[in-house]
Amino acid sequence: MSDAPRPPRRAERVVEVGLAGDAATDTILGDLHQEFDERVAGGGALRARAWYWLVALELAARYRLRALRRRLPGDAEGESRWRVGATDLLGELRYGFRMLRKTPLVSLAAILTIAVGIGMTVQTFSIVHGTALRGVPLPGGERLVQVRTKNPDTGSRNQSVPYHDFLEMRERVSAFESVGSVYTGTLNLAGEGGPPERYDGGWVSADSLSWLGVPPELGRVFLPGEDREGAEPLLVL
Amino acid sequence: MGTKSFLGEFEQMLLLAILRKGDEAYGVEVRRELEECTGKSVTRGAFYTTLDRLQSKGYLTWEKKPVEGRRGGRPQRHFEVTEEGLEELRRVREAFDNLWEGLDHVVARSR
Repeated sequence: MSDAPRPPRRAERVVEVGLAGDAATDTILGDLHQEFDERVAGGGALRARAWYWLVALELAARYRLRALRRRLPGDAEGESRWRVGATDLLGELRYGFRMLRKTPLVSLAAILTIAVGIGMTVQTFSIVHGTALRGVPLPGGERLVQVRTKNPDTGSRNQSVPYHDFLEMRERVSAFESVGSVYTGTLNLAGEGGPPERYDGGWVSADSLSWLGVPPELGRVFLPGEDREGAEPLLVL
Repeated sequence: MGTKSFLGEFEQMLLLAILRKGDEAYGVEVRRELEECTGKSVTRGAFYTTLDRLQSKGYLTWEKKPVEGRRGGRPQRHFEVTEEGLEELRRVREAFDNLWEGLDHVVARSR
């Protein structure tokens, strides 16, 4: 058995599949084998294999595209708007691909620019979609409204609502089905004898979890009145 | 006056390369002849699919020739231009000759 390098079998298989039973397949594989041997002698087996793969992919793509074009509907003379249009399109794609190969640095810069542009567009859309289009990911989230305040003295906007304002708002505002308060932050919790651990959490009015529609992991949500002044501090997980 | 379209540029070059190689008109040799004469590289995909197209038009024929001891034992194709192919080449050349007639001085002056 000869130890001479031979064309990569998988690349040969790519050619066979691409040519899909074409009568000349064995002769084309023979041509490629002949050139492969010459390239091994001239530049080494590794470069010859890389070359073979490139040619195999190009050949397979070309034959598959041709087969695709032939399947498009044609009239009696073998040409139709579909076929002519597809031929034009493929020609343009081939021309574009050749131009990309001809100026690799410019192509790389263009591809990177497009990639950055797409990335920024996707990022912007994700933010807009997450904050403005999708709404709050809660049951009935489209009906939830967050109320913020503005300080007319300092001109600062988007401020939290003071608790006494919230209490008054809950009493007087009739535009909402329900009014609750949520103030998020981090909490340090410690069990008996154990070291404290830090958790994300928040302080809420008693009915907030009910209208947020968020079930507790354990036990029950707060009952009405459990947020009254002087009540025992309660925790819901 | 006929309405039949002419051979494409690459098709003409391919038929001429086959004619130039004569008895040695095998795939690899024809492609090399084409590259050497035109000074341009020819992709295998374009080369083989154009050969198929010319054969389907009846402008060339090919037959397999067995090869031993190289090419992985695979046969090679020997190409031959048919009389129809020659006639098409003549037709193209005649059209170009007509167009070129009387223009030698124009080309000479612009050089």
